[in-house]
Amino acid sequence: MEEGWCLSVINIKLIGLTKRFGTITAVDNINLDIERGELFTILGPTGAGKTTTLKLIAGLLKPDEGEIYFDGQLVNDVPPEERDVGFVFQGYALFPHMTVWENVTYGPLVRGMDPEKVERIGREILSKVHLLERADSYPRELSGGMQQRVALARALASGSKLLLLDEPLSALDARLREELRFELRNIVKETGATAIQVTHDKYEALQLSDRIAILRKGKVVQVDTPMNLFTKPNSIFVANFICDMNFFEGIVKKVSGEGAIIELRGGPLVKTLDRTHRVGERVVVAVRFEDVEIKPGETKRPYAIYGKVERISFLGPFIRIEVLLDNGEEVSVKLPATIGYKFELGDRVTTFLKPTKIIVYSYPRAGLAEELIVE
Amino acid sequence: MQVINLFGKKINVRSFLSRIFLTATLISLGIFVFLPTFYLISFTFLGWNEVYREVFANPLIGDEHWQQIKGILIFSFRIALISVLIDILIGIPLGYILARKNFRGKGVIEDLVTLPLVIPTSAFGFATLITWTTIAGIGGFLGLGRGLVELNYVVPIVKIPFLILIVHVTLTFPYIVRIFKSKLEELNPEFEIASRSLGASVFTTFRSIAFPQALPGLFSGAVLAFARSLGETGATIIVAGVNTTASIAIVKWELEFKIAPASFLGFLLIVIASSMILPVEYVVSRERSTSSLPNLTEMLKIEKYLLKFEKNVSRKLYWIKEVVSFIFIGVCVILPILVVLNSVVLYWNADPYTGKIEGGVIYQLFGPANYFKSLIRATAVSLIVAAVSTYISVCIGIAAVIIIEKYRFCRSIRSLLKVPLVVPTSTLGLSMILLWGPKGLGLVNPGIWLIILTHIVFSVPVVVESTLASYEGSDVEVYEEAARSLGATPYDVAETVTLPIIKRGIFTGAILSFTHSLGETGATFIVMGRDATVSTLVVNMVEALAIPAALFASTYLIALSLILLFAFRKISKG
Repeated sequence: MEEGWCLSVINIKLIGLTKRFGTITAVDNINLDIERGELFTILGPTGAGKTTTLKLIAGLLKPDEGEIYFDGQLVNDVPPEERDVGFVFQGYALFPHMTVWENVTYGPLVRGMDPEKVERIGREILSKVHLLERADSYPRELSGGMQQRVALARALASGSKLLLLDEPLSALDARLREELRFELRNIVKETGATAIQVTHDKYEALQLSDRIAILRKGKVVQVDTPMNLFTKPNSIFVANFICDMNFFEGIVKKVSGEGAIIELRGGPLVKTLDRTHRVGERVVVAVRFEDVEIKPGETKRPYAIYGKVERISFLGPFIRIEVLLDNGEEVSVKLPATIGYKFELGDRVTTFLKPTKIIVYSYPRAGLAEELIVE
Repeated sequence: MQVINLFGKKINVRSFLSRIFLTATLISLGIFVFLPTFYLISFTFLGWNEVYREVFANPLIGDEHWQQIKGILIFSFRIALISVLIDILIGIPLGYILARKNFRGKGVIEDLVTLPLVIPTSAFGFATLITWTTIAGIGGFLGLGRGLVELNYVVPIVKIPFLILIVHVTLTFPYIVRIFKSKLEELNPEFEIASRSLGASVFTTFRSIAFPQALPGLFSGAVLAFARSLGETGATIIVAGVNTTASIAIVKWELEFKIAPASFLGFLLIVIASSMILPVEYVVSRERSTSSLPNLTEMLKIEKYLLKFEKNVSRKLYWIKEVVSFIFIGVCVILPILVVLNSVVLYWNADPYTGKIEGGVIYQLFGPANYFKSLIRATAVSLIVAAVSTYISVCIGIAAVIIIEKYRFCRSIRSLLKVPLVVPTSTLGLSMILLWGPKGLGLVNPGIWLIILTHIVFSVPVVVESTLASYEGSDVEVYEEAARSLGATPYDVAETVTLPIIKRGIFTGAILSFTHSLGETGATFIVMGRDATVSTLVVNMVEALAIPAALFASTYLIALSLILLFAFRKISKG
């Protein structure tokens, strides 16, 4: 990377970060360590405090409590223009009265760089996002995807140590969004910048990020790699938010060397390998849609649960079947379309929760329904 | 669709009615607003021989009138130009503070900025006069034993009488502040946040991001301020001393029956005002107007120093904009009002310096001069004029808004309606009396009816402007379409959807037009005959040197306008 806009890559440390608006605590005692060059995502439902966290890091808001360190330096009192962060806004905030070129070179210019250097940075960064030939266009003349790339280029061109992306793809339509995910990751990774992205789209987070922090009501619930989050969600909230899962209440009946038997409401038993819960404990059994077996008719087998097909949704390559179980609960099953086609509404079926895939959680204090709210 | 048979032709009732509505609206706009505005132009052309003889080739004085007109015009333009420049210097920081900061007492500051728009100018001119030039004002507070400045003190370099300048700046700066502020408020604050996160200081951000985008607003505000300064009569006539501005000259010449030079000067003012406002309207109303500033890179040589300077200013001198703005408001808006109130108390029984009861407010009001009776009568005239002209203007205004929004070819009416707002009011008065008065059509004699007709001319644009603003700011069309799709007729839609939604805009416009009418002096002077309004009465009192009576009348007018300001605020903020 050439000198000029080569980013001096930094790490970020947040300690006990708290921000209140009136009586609402938008960000509640957040502790995070973000590595050099990491593409880190803060994921959470609307109103979880994601954008507030981002603005605190950028210096656009002042924290009520806690500390923010850039490379070990406390930056709490540094004004935004001296923090050297590149902020990409949800709506891009491209200056409408300036051309693409003027937008991109604005940062270097106001930081007082030499004209030749400004020129070089502008060319380099615009060719990186493939927009050099559109340098004289105004933002309104560009497509949504192009505007997004200009916004990214502008943030990179100011030589920032840190890229902050506030829902960078949310203003684009669904198809373009999927295409641009990889491009965004490539550009950021090529520059080697540390980047923090905020989003409420789990697919975006899972595809793009090195690590993800799940935020709920201002608190960090789990920080991990996408793979670990998906396979080992540490709470019912994360499981529900990240994966498509069925949840059942139950009580542990028996714990033995090879696993545990749990009785669901209304009597059906399920088997699991998880032995961490005591006999008699109230628990929640979670299993992914795709980890439920389904057979037509009523087949006798241990730990089977019977029911009838209530709803069938066609999802392209997959079919989702919702079954009303005889105990009154519902279970969703995801099948490849090639197998799923043989089920019809009202069919009696046998379902079976795969013991190896079942995750068991202690029953939450606030109740199961409360944990499943994602808005 | 109902169809009726008229004169043997089948006619669709609905389109027939809407055509009648369109025609009636266009005709009333023409008669009540545009004809008076532009009549002076045709009058000057039709009587060109006479005008030419009087102005350029008078057998006795030659082209003396032309020389006077030239001098007066240059003088007026100098005043307007310098006033607008000062307005801009004060208006930018003040507009920025009001748009971007939140602080205790912001509402009060906003009211104080609006006050000069609603205050009767003659009362305000009088307040400024005694504040600066008499012992009752600043001079007295400082213990000088005389006024702080002489009446005819001229500011060096710009060569403008100090009092005229201060009155014009105070009466015109609200235009710039209000328009600039609302432009800034429309702007997405994310642009400024983005700029700061890219490394620009607060000041640099303002200069390169917010300012260029709000520039069209500043521009149209400046044009309005310039026109207002050019046409200002009420306050100027009181503080002018030996000086004559264009609008005062028209009033004086009309009263001296020098119709030819007066109408020629008025003609020039109308032409200048329209040629100023119409291009600006065109530029500002175009949506894709990007104010392309000179490229930053090209100016980079000074850019670096500028950036450093701006960084320092942003850090250390950030308080200066607040201090400048608040001192200006304090000295130019609050102080004159306080001085008047204070003086009324001092002069209540007798002149505090000589002890004569003839110099007291009570004696002048109820003594032989009996100004109290004139004041009561003038109040009645003012209120009737304001109420009737506002009512008629609202009726014409709503109809005008509807045709402007419904018919494409009526769009230009909106720009044309800006002209009466910038034409100096004394010119308008002259135009009215020449058109309707004994020398013209002979339909209306000078008096209360002619005042009402005159006030309608500038009240209609005020109502239209504020109603249009609320029409366009509330997506009315979507609701109208929804109502139509639910089965409402166009009339139902107007009554049950459109009018209730734009109600606030109409009320705001009505109050503004009411206050304009109450405070108007320049035109009223010419057309009032013997039916004086309160604001013209103040001028008469000052000219008759009945200072204590003028003090009382000014206090009375200021109190009235404060009440209206309160109403204005209640309505415009909901």
